[in-house]
Amino acid sequence: MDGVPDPVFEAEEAKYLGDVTSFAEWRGFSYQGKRVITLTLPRAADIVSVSVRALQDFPLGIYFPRYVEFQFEWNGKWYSAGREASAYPLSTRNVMAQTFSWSSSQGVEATAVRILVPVDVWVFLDGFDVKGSFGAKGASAAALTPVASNPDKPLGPLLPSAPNAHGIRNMLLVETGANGSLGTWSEQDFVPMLAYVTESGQITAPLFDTMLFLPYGSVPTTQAGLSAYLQDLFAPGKQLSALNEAVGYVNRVLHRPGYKEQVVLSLPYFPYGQVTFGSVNGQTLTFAGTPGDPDALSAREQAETWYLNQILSDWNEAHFSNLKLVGLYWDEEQFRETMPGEAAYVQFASQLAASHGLPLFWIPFYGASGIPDWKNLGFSAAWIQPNYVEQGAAANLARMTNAAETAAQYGMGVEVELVGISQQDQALYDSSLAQLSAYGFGTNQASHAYYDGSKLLLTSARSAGEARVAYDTTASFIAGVAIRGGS
Amino acid sequence: MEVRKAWLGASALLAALSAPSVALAQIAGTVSHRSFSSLRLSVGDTALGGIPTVTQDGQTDVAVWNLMQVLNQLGFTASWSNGVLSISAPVSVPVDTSPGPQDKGGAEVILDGTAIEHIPSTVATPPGASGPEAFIPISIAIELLARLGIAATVNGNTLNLDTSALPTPLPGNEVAVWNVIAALASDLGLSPAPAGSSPYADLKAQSPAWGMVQAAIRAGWYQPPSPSESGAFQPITWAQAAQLVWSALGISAQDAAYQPGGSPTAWASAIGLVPDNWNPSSDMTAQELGILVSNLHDCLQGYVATSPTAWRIWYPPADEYEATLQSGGGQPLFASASDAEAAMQATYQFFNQLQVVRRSGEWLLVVPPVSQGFGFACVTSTGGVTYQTSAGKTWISAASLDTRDVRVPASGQLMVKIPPSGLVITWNQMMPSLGGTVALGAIDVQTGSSGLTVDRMNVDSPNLPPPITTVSG
Repeated sequence: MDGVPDPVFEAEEAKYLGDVTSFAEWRGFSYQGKRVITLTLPRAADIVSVSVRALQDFPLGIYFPRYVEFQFEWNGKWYSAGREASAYPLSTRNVMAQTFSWSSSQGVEATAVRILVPVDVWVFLDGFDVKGSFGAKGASAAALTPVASNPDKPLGPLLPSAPNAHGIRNMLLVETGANGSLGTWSEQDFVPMLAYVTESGQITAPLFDTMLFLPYGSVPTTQAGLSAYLQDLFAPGKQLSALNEAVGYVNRVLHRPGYKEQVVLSLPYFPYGQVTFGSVNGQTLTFAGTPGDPDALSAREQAETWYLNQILSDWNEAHFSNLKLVGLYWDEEQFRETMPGEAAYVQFASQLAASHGLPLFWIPFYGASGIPDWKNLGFSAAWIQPNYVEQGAAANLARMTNAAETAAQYGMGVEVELVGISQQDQALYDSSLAQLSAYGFGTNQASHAYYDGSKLLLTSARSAGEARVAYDTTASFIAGVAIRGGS
Repeated sequence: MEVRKAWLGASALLAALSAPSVALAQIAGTVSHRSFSSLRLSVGDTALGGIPTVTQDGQTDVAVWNLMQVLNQLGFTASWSNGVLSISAPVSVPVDTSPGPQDKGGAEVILDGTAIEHIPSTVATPPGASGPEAFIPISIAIELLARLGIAATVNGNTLNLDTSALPTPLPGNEVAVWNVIAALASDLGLSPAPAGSSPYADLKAQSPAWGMVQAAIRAGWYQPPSPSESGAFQPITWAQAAQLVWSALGISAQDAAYQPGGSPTAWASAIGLVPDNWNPSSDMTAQELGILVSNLHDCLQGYVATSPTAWRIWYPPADEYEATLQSGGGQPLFASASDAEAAMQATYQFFNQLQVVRRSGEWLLVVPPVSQGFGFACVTSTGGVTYQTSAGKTWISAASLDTRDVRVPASGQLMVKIPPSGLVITWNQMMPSLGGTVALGAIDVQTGSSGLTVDRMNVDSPNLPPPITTVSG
């Protein structure tokens, strides 16, 4: 395994411990990066073929690996014979097997053989087979491509001061567009998010410097659904308008004239499939594809362009004096490699944002496909979701360590997550913040996004006793005060 | 008489050119140890006269000329020329052309154009004959007759021929059911059934057709008309032949709607095994069978040569429901059988337009323009692929090639280098209703010193692991 070991995924894949060399049972691999399966030989042999079979079962989240790489060891060094990409798209809906193989009539002289298999969600393998002869002499492995011993140097956390953080130090996710009062933010709601408000009602210090507005998951990603969302988002007296007013108020209290709160708006994700989006420029857009646009790329790009034009037009017309738009958020928490045309679609979205001078941000869940490649996908910055507190009683602190390690490996920020304000929830929350501090992801050390369910921090801020602890703890973390605790 | 004259001339030539030296020595020096006689010949209750014999050292030989005369009377064509005994049967009459011993003597036997064995022969001049004649051991003669479906037995001084296993020849150049079975057996891997008793009145166990026909019936290739009638020697329409090919390929009747064309005859036309203008209900001729068998052979090997340096891929057929479409994990991949049939038809059309060419020592795959639609191809190889969209343009290297992502100019042609590790080409279709794509077929193309190899790769539905109940994230 070259990824970060994770006890949750390890427990999952422990259910599928079939012998990878036989066809009797599958061996399952869950997330955690690339897997390396090595066969060490008692002495040098002429290897003529290496093969392994993989399973595709889309509904179960089992996908062919994107590729299998074949490597050979000679004199203590590894050499690559190359990768074989999946011959079928990962969007394949057949339940089927595929054999990845390397072969050579002359063979390769080696003392060990290994295959490298990237695991994005689940990969199931069986039938790992190496054929060769101790009697014959193969070609020199040194003629193959040498394998770099340590190709990936950790990049370190996404610093708040990094240019690609675009000034985002502490960014609160604000969900709107549904769920009544939970999805409706007033000026009064925003004040305790913009600045710390004591129990006695005193505003003492700035809190979140950035607000990320995104639609609730129940908002339909159709033209009608998104139009309604935008109408609500820009309606007077609430949401963005309320934020603008709240910033003005807090600025006066904190004596910081001219300060502008940073805002990130969302770009919706339109999945390929049997969906009719609506009418754009007199043309009905569907995401099922057409003979000339089989991946529905053009249709999805038109919808994306329509939406961005709408939201930017609304933004410009609103003239929010206390708000500054600093970027767009890609509203999909994973890179769906298994969906048709996905890479081109995400690339388009980042280029579309760039054409308006805006960066595109991403907050993938832990283990999501595409995390190691987030820069290549076109994102300007990314924050990883640890998904630690969501595990409740089963939560393992190793997840926080792993999330921090992953973020450091790939130059990401981290999302701080709050899913409840009960005593048990608080214990987990404290643990997660303590771990972040301990692993160099405290305030000023890394950029943070904050997920608090639906207004949990606001609820906490307006509470007393135990229920207020979450708000105070968050403020302390943002202020750089060490958090102790944990379960 | 003309035949006899020709034979006499030939036998003299045999003595001079091809008779074994032992036989020549016998002619020169051991005539006094021979005794000439004759056997009475009968077919059932019908006497056909006598056949000269010569006995020497306890071995009895029979005159080849008389044997040929009997065969000619039974509908065969037998001739002798330059030490070669040629016997031909009407196309619809089976003969056993399996190889026999090659080292028994100097005369060669050719059966229906196939050299099957060398047999010992000798020449002698029977009393009263005008010249020397060729003789072969009676045991050899009985073995040759058995190859023709004639059971010969010697009873005292009578050689009795049982011709009950010989079918009535079909008119013209028509072929019978057994012809089709025998012609397909090699390419489709059918081995003759072992000797046994026949339940069929029209197919004796001693018939050369017995083993193949019985094996075909057992394998389910062919359904006889009744339990007591094989129909082996009946004419066969090419529609029936197409059905036989279907059965031989394991394509079941219940899966018919999923095959290109949807029926055996339409399928055979759709995948290019037979011309479109054949009348399915007309009896098949030997020429038509030859075309069908040749095409099927090329199709099953996956390609046909179109020039010394060019080959067209020919997608090997299979029961597409079994090989491809049942891989939906318990759910149908297509909304209807007609949708599935159309998808399979497009699959065959795509693969059948692929070409392999050899230019300047390099093997290249030429990919046809993928018509605008929901189908697309992926090409992969260990180490990645190298392709070009127009002759003379830069070769592009990539991990894999997806025709959805490649724009080929109208005047261009997509070509992919075939590396030593070969190429895998898959054909797929967009499937918005499933939110993904469907794999419809694949081939593995390999090249090397022995030439081109093409293998079809079925969409393999393997044993599945236990259900995944939770996926944490």
